[in-house]
Amino acid sequence: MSRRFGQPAYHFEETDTTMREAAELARNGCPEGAIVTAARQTAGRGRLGRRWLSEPDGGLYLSLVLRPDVAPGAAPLLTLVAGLGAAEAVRAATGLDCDIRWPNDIMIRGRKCAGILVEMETREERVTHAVVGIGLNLNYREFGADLADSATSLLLETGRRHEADAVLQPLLDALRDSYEIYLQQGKEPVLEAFAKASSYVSGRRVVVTGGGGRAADRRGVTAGLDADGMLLLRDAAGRVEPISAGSVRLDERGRRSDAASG
Amino acid sequence: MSDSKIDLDSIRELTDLAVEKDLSELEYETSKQRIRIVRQGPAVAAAAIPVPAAVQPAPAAAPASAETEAAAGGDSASYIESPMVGTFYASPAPDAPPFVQTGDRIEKGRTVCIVEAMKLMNEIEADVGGIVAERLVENGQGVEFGQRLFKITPA
Repeated sequence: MSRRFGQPAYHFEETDTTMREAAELARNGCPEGAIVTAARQTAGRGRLGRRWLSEPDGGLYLSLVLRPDVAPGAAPLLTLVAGLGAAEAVRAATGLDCDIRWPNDIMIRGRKCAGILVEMETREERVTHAVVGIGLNLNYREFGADLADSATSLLLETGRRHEADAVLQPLLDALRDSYEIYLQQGKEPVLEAFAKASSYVSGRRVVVTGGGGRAADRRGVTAGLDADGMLLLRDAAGRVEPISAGSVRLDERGRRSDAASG
Repeated sequence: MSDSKIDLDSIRELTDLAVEKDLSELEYETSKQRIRIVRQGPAVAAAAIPVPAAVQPAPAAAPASAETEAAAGGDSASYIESPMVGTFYASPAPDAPPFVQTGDRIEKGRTVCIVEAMKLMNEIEADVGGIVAERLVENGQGVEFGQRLFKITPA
């Protein structure tokens, strides 16, 4: 598969969400690698109905159509694949070290600069398409009170502007490189690369909110990834369980003890 | 079932034992029959799922298998199953109405729920049309590959 991502490309000055536009294209048979971008989204989507801040000039809002010929059970790994590609692109654009918070938040100095969401449709136990949505904060100078502690932008981190047009193709190329490894070499190299790129994979004290039918937060220390890329969490009793969904955050109690010891 | 050769009491006892001891699989064999109990999903979910233990007669008990399947609900109802391990959501967002409600008449291809794994949201489409007779999992619950999510009866 030598085809570049980004063909065909549809750009909107304004749309509700590039995810919906891309899913429609996919249902109408567009090829793999098709993208939808928008200068502004009026209803940018995050996970489970959350909003993604999508002001004009603030960020890059991209949805990419993939058509991996895999069973649905093998598809969640795509979110790690996308995280690896996006992290590589952010590193290249900024020259800064960045981390991946499982499964795919791109972090610089502990703050999130990009988020990724994948929406998939299946038929008869095969994936018909998956739309990878990436929101990358480029030129925000500040965030509202609800995001001030947790979000950042490339401008804030590097002190200079980053244009969406300049960032887009390198990002698509990095995503394609990462995706090609997944298609051609399977999940092991993806899991290996992810374990190297993400400090969250092992030995981090975290709290997991939501997911898996648990009302209460789960706390523990991360203990690697399972064969499907799920994060393993070891609780205080030494019990290890895989996390399939939920928000992973550093446990504040752990952060304080890190600071004390360092 | 009066002429059944299946020892229902044994199956009940074994099922209780499997639940009580939190066993995922239990096999019991005598000279006449072999009974295998396989449980799916975490123990906490067992109470919420009407059929927590699937009773599968092993090959040794083949003559009885047809009757057992009929007893387990081998009527015209069908089930929408999860295509992957993940977390079940009945609605697209916490404050949004569910995709489908019990009693709804749905067409094949209708989105009935989302299963999430690792921020990949899989919109599950009904592979048959009919009436949503029952939702078999709780919102936010973890589900296994192949776990039944909805019971659909013919319209």
